[in-house]
Amino acid sequence: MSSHPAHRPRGGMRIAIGAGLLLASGLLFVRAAGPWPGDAIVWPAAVAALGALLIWRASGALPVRRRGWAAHRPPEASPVASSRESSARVRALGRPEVSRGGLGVTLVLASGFAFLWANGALRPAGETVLAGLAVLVALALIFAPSWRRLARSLAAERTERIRSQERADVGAHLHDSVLQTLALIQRSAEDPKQVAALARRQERELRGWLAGGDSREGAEQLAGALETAAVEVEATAGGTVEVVAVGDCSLDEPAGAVLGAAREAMLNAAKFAGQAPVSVYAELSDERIKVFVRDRGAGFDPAVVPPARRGVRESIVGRMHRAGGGATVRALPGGGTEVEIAIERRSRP
Amino acid sequence: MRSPNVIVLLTGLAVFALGVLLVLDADGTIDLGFAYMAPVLVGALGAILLASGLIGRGRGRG
Repeated sequence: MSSHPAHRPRGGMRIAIGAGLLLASGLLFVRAAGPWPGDAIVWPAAVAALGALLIWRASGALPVRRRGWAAHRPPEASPVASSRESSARVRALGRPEVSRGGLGVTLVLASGFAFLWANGALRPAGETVLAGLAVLVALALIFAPSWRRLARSLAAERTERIRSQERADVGAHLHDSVLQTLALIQRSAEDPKQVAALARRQERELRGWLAGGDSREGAEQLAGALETAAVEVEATAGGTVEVVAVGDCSLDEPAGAVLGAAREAMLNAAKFAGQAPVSVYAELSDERIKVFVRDRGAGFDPAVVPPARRGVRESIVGRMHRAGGGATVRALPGGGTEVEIAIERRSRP
Repeated sequence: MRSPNVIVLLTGLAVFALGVLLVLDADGTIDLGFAYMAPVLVGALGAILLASGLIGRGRGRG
């Protein structure tokens, strides 16, 4: 298994040490040449600053830059990606590592003691402080192994909990989708059309789940709504409707018009395409929407469609004109029809 | 043409500057005691490490 470059910054340690050495060099130079407040003040202050930096970084108060693909990853990852991420989290939990926060706290405390000691503030209570310190160190040495064991067992328990939760999630999804569909297929074994439709619906849902969405959720975005429309058309007219959407946009008024027109085009194509699948390709953005619906049926000439047939003329072309867009129906060379639906949207800030 | 290795170049410049300082010290032009030598050495090492880390990060990004 390869390491994760997104989580392990290259050269981070060298940069930190280099910056620290440059700072130390500056301090040494000022100590030799300029006004110097005194070793008892500056060095404890420098160590305290380093400790504070470590504490802040460990607490998340300082930004940690993500780089590479991780920096551009959308916040909602697919189940597969999130599974990979949680596996990495599980591996990280089992790995013993030095706590930056603990190191920072130690440095700040040590610098505070050093400051007080160097300035003579601890001399009156020197023996008491020394005795307390010795007791603390002895207790830490005695109990450190059991604390470490406790921390490890807590981490192992958390690891196991994450794993079992993942298994339960995947199991629940498989039961709700694939197993139920298989049971329905067994019942409908005598009806090949019904079996094909069930398999097709399950395939679509599983693909959507693997890609990070859930086709069962309400379609508030145009890509999801096109998928839902394709499922409805398959159920109504039979056949197969393949939808490929690039990008996405909200389902507002222009997008609603495109959806209505595309649904009508899909329905027409499914009715007249025969056994050949209907292809829907959509380019969706906040500026413009383009949808192509193609079939490999017999094809037709829109000019010779009788006026009483209002499907193409009103539901597709007319609807898009009213919405401020356009639709073109053309016969493809070699048979088949392509409906191009396009609309410009106002760009949003 | 191969692009120069910036880390090696920086290290060479640091060593060269150190050599110049040592020559000037031996010549008596400057008095280079430990108080000035230590920050120079530490600063040179820090600059080399910083440059190496920053270049490594830049390569990692590409």
